[in-house]
Amino acid sequence: MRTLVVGVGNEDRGDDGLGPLAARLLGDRLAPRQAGGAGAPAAGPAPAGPASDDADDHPDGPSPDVEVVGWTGDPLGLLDRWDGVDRLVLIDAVVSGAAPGTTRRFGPDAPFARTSEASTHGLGLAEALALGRALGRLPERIEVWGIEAVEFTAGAPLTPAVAEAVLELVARLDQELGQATSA
Amino acid sequence: MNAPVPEAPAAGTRRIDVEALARVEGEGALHVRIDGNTLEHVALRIYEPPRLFEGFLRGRHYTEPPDITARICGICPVAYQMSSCHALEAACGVAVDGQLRELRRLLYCGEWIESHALHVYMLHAPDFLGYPSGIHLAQDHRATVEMGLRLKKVGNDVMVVLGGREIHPVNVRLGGFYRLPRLAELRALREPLLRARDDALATVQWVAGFEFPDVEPDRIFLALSHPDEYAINEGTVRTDRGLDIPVSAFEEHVREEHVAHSTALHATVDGDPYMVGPLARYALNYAQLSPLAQEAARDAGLGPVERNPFKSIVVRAVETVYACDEALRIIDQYEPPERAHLEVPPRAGRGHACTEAPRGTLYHRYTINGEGIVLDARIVPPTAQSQSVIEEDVRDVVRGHLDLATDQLQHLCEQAVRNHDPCISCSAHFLKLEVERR
Repeated sequence: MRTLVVGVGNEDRGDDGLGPLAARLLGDRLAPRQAGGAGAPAAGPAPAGPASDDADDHPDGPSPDVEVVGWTGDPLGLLDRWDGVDRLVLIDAVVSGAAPGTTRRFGPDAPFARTSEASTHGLGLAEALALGRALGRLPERIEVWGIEAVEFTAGAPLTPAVAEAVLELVARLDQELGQATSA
Repeated sequence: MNAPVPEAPAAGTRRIDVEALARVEGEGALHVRIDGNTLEHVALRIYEPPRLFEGFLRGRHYTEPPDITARICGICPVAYQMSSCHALEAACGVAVDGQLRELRRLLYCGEWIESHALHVYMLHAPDFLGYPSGIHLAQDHRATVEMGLRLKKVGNDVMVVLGGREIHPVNVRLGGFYRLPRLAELRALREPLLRARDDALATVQWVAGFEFPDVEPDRIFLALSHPDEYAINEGTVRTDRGLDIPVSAFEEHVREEHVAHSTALHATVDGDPYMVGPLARYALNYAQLSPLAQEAARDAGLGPVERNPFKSIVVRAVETVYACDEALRIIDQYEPPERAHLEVPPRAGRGHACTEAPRGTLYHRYTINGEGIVLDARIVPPTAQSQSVIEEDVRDVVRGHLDLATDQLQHLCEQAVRNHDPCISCSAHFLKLEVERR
């Protein structure tokens, strides 16, 4: 089974950068195990969280069929990116009025407002999903992880609560994806 | 356009708030105020990160602006990279020529194809066919939208081969590239580009069949122009009123002034508002289009000058044909240069450059010292230059349709803005539209 994890956002716009950041952290955790096999130490920052484990928890490591990418631009390009993927995991900033850092998991049919109310990308993730559906080009399994974002100023750092939520989500996905593929 | 309106729905106050003006790249707001039968005020408010970037750039090393400014826009990063490279190379007295120049042009063609296809299919065509979005269009016209996405993808593929990746290309540097594309990589683009060119021709036919409002506003066109090629990254700055100046004289003629309603500046050329983009390029450089692109334009019913802003969609499609054609030409004549880049040692000086972003002329100017530190940067993006004309187009639309119901009028206003494919900023996209009737 091919799994694709995509973190969407603009790293130069405050909390909007949470998607690419999550992708980078998750990729750092998964990459050494994918490349080096069982027992290779995880490189890069080690996020704290309930699952701040190392490779020993899932000795087989995730299969190389798990791919993690950060996506900083036009989400429509994702349609081609997720062609042939069985399971799609999306991570994006969400604006709903909840507390900053609130993390929720949505299905592809969640009532995302198109054009920027929920996602922050012009022709955004919501449009890419809707277009994929209209064209019959959606992966079979889709989950969307939304982290509530509040700060979109150019050059601003992540809101602390959002940064924390990113670390927790990365740890969680690291564990989940490892288990899923070693099962 | 100011005919009295028999049954204008203007009794009392009407006001519409639209949360977001969809299908425009960027964030901003358009405010229209109508009092009775009189249009009182039109203001396009745009938020413009290039201004912030000018600040970020001061004190940075002269090799950094191509990568930093590429992040201004997720749709046209190549434009920012190219304008900054050319300007900094000019400051250092280096001219990139031969095959490296051709490869840059090829990269730029990729961006034109990608950006134009996105705008034509997903953002603009729905206006003409009565769909609220490209997604609704896709539900009814799946094959057509698939063709548009296929076309867009070929543009992306060109950018990946030359730029290293499609969104913010990382392979571009002062003097050329970090790594040259392999011959096999370029040849592999040939078949997809041939198909893309056919798709682009079909696109011209498709959009030429749309219904267009019959308007021909008299606007000043400004674009880069080059005697030997349809200008993309090099040329003189020309207008259709006879101005023809080197890029270094850009700021002597183009002035920007602050207006209260926007963080963007309003630009004039020799005192008059003007517009940049496909209509301007096409009018000034028709003769340099490839024969195939010219033929497509003629078949679509375009003359050598097209002034109807609604027909910019046809011109964008013609330019897409050209970009495919030109990309094929470059690939077919390509011979690997000896080196991936020229050395560009720093020297104290000032450099200017214009290149043609998909939405129009993009000007960069840098001053650096002998150590290569950026002392001063200036960026004049295309949308800011066209802003006054976009507002004027909206005024025309409102004056001509005061009798329309407010929601229909609002739609026409949105369309008038989208005609210009404005890149109001990138990435956190909120464009609100408010029409207020008194």
